[in-house]
Amino acid sequence: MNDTKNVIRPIKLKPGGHIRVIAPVRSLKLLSESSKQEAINRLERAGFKISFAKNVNEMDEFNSSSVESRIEDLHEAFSDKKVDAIFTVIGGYNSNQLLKYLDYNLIAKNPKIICGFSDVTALNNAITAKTGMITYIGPHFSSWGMKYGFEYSEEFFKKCCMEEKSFDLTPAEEWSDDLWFLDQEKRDFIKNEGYWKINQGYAFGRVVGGHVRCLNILQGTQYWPGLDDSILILEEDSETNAALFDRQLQSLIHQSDFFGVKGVLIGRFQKESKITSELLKKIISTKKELKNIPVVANVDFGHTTPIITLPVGGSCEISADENNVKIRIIEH
Amino acid sequence: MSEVPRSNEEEGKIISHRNIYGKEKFPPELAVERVENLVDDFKGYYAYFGYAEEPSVPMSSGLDETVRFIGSHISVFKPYLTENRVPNPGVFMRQNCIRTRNADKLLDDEFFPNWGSYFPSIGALSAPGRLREVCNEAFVFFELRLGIPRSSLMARIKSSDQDFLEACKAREGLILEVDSKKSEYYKHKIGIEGINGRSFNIALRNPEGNDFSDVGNIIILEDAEKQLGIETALGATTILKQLYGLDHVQDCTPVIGLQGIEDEAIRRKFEDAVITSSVLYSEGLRPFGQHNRNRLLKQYVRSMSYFRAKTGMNLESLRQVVSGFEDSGASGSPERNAELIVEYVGAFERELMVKKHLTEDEKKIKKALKSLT
Repeated sequence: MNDTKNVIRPIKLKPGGHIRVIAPVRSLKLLSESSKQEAINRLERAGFKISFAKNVNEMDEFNSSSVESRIEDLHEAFSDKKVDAIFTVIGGYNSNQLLKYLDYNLIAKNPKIICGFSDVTALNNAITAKTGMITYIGPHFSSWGMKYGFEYSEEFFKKCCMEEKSFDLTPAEEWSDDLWFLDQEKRDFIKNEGYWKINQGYAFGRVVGGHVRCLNILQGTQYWPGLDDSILILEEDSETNAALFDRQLQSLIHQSDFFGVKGVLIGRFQKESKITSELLKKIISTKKELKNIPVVANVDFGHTTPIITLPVGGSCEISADENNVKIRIIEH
Repeated sequence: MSEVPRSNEEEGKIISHRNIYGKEKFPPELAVERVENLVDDFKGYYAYFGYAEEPSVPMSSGLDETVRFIGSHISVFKPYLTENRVPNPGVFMRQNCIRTRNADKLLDDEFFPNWGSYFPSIGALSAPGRLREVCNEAFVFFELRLGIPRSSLMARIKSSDQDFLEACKAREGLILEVDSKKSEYYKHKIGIEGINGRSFNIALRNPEGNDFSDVGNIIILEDAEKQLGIETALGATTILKQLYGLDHVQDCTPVIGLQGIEDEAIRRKFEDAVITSSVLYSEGLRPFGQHNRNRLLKQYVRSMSYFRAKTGMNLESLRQVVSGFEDSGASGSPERNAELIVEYVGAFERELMVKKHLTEDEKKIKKALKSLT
């Protein structure tokens, strides 16, 4: 049985708040100067003060930096009383290198918003597991550098990280899977067909998850966030495909506490994954463990844009019937 | 002994129509102040005698693995006993507590809760061999700090506990009631193998003058060989109930907006659910998961649906009730979770309406909710 920690809700970010940018995965140096400046400008326009961690530009052969440097920056960000929230630069592959070296007591005593997605899934779910603090699967610092099509992301970041009230998710009108950072002026937006209702049903539970393979690497470790009474959020990137997604999902189902999953939200797949609604329905239909719980896909999170912000360790309600899908973020 | 500092209570305002303690029921808006004054009196009094203050811990901290919630300050004092290091004269503390004896009977319409699940407890742990001093300190607290005449104080003792008898007999005029209860009444287990407690209870005369009710006890904690410490345990709300002639201990943590409920049992259980949910949410506990603490909280949260249905209350009114309780300061926390708690109540109700396999309690709540709509 997983002993879920009591919830620690970080103080909401306020206009004028101070955001510290850290690079627990890949380096800030990876970003083009224009993308970085665009992100700073957008965040400053939104009224925030920005500062960068000491080692944020360090870059090794893995486009990342030493564990020591990343730990130092993360601890400094949590302990600095002048910092209100922490944004990760970008994803990658190695935030799980940090888990053993994090001072979870320091984090629990200085709760603040930490937001990012993709590989940051491992970091955030581990922090939630070890401290009970709500962490946020949402835009990286780099995401804020998007010139066009970011309004929806910003709107839902604010609802989740700046406001107290529970809120309903609404699908974005359009989405994109382009490499926006290569050419900000030439964007390719696609009309959103809305949620894919794979299974109907009702569920209310604690939000857990993020990038599937990054969640997988926590299985069997002390950093596993637990699935009791959970709403599992799952997303993948272009490296996945239907067979790989199936395999990783099956691995989650083999978790001894999977019976605690009450509903599943799946983020929009990138085109390259070639996972269609039909293929996903097929995959889900083969899992008897998912038969009686709501499963909704094509939700606006993952590696397409724009994205919502989801609270790991918070709570969420899914109601999917014949006519409607309603997703409500209750605690965040 | 030098002069004992006086109580926070104003003196010289006794009016003849008041109860035997010269007091009358206080209005809900004064409840928090009354509780805090009593706690401060207690703390100031024991500090004056050289006791050191022990910080309180969250009720759902899991600090004491033998209990689901901290239900007594003894949970915090245990390391002093197990490590045989109770200081002289001792330590004292205020500890907010939860005892969930009502949880399984919240939906039982016949059940009336004489106790609330949540209460602030005040207590001290003193060094072994100080029984006479410990008894004196406790009784002087009642007599001088709270202004209770010795003739309204009773010690309920087992005749075989000669040490207690001698200590209490030394206080001339103190009423002794010997062997009036079953022997279990005088025994305590504290969840540490090999350590047992034997006690006598302190009772106060009922405010109308008849009979007595327990408000605390003094417990000698000992193993097979030696005394390890002496605990003084007092119920802040039970003392106030007696002193002010309150209808119920929960009037010390009033929930505004529920006083009008005609069915007293529903009202008190509804209050209990609001209070307990509110104080546990403020500690970050949530009604998710398999752990007993989380499951117990879920019972309180879900029972609010039953009570709101039985009393014809909509969710917005429930939010105002929970919010009013939080605003009163009785939860002891600056946290404001009323909106969140009611979101959870609403979500559980929606789940109930579509859930296929219901427990008996869930069927009962669903039936009540359906009658509301």
